[in-house]
Amino acid sequence: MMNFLKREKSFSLTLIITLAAAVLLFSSSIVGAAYISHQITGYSAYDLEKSSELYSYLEYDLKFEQRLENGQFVLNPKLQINTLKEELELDLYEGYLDYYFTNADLRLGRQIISWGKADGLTVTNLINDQRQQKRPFVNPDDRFIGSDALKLDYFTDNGTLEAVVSLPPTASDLDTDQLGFGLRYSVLGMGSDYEISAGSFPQFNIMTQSYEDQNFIGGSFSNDLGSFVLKGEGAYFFDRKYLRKSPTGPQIIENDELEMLLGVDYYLGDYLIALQIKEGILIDEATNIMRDQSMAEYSLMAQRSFLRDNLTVENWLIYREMPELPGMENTLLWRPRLTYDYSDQITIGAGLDYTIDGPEKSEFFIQLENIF
Amino acid sequence: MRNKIIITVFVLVALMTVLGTVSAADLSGEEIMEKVYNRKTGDSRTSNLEMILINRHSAERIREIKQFEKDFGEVEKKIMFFISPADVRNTSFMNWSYNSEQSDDQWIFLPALNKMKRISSENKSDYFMGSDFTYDDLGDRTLAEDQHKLIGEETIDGKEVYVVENIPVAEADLYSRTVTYVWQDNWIGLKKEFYDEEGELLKVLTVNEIEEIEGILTILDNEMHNLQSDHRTILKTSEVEYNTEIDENLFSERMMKRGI
Repeated sequence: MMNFLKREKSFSLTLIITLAAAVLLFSSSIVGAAYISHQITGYSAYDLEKSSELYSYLEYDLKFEQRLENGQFVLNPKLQINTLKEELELDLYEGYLDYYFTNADLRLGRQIISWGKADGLTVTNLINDQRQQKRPFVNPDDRFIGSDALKLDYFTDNGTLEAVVSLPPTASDLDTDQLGFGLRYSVLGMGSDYEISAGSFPQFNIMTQSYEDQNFIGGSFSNDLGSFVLKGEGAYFFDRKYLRKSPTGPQIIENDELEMLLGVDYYLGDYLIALQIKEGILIDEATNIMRDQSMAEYSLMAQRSFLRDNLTVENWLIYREMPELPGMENTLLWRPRLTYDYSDQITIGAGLDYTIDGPEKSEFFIQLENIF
Repeated sequence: MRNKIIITVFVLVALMTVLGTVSAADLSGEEIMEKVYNRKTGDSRTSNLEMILINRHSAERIREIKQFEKDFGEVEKKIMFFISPADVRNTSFMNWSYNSEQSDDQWIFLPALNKMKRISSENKSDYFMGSDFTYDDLGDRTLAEDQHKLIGEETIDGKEVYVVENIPVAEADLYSRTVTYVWQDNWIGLKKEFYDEEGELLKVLTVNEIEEIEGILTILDNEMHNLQSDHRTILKTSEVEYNTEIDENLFSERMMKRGI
């Protein structure tokens, strides 16, 4: 028997009810008809070495948008049937209420918030939790999970000041009063954009295998240089937790770290080539710390569109240095991705996470999407 | 005395008519295209676009866009909100085009990631949303990017047209040349032929419907036919409004994220 709502997220349902009630309060200001779209996705991933199926699910994704006189209401629940484990899971991907003031926009509810200019790699993009499961994603950014948050954007003549207060990730065991918070000022300008950010948000620490606050101050930029777009991010992290070898076993210590990223997008006809280099440097090198003082992550992506943008082929090469912990090794991954829009409703996707060097297994996936 | 005045006026009018005819006939290709580029199009414009993409098997795909444009003097700003199909809904695109040597600024907003992304504005030869129109074809091209030569006069649907050949100044251009058929009465292109790098006819743009809206001639229906792939794009424009009060704040990160 299928386990009904194996991972029913009670908080999601509470959030849905709260937001629906809020909308009812605003119902007198409803503008136009609601927009509703449905998406059904079938996904299967296989272990290339053992030729066995690893994950398989069918997902129903509902998008509901209702414009209000001074805002909007958006609900995006997903119902996933894990056909291998015979489990049913209901989750709220996004569900929020927007209210627009003269010079400010307020968003309350579960939402995706992106900070920084990097694609795929993260430096200052720390608000949303990331899925820890290893299944191959169609897009590297699919791994982000919506945060339950309040976001206020205040607009000046030159830029946007954004304040965020968020609840801890649902996957963490942090108390709900351990809020994440941060500020960002962003500017779009002639030839270049930049943003400055600071905050404290809980993120999963792969060394300690737990959620911990990441206290940081940072910024990012992107510049148009003709066929190139140059982008960069940097952040200084205070009191991050690391493991150190000791005679009594691994010991947690705190250290500051500087993370920097430099990337370039090169547009050449139908090709887009994107290179990103990220480096994390420990400020005070403690002895016996279970990682190198400097740890790098590189990504190289070549993308080309065919058949009037209906067929897109992406080739990712990702190199990631890892801490010196059991089961972790530096990894070099090859991630080809193919997406074909058979029609405006049907999209076929396929891809490979091939481990050239490292402990992770190589996996292949196929996906079929129907939007209506 | 009265007769002298009448004769003088008559002679002046006749002289002006003759001079006018001579000057029109003497126009160079460059002058004709200058009039086309400088044709009155309003300081601002809002419109809805519907693009119907038709492949060789007559299968159709439809894209709907809401567009706002405004000329601020030093900079011309444009913002597009994608309405359909569902997978691009709430995506928005913004372009700031400068009257100086400064390259255009372009951004795209990706709703699934809630992310603004700066993109390169150099690829004007890219096809727009899988259609047969490049960004250049949709109006991003300037007079100085081609050398213009008058090669004849013809009639299209009873309308007298100048036939002007346009040869790109830059060697690395998508087209080896284009030929524009300019309506003599109104300085508006009624047809345009696009030739590929080998000099073969690649595409033909045909104007199907023109209407005067608020004193401005507006193309409401045109079709681009790629003869080599037998793919067509019909571009329909509706709910056109000119010179409306469009706030500068519309062309901002806030509106790209909020959508319409």
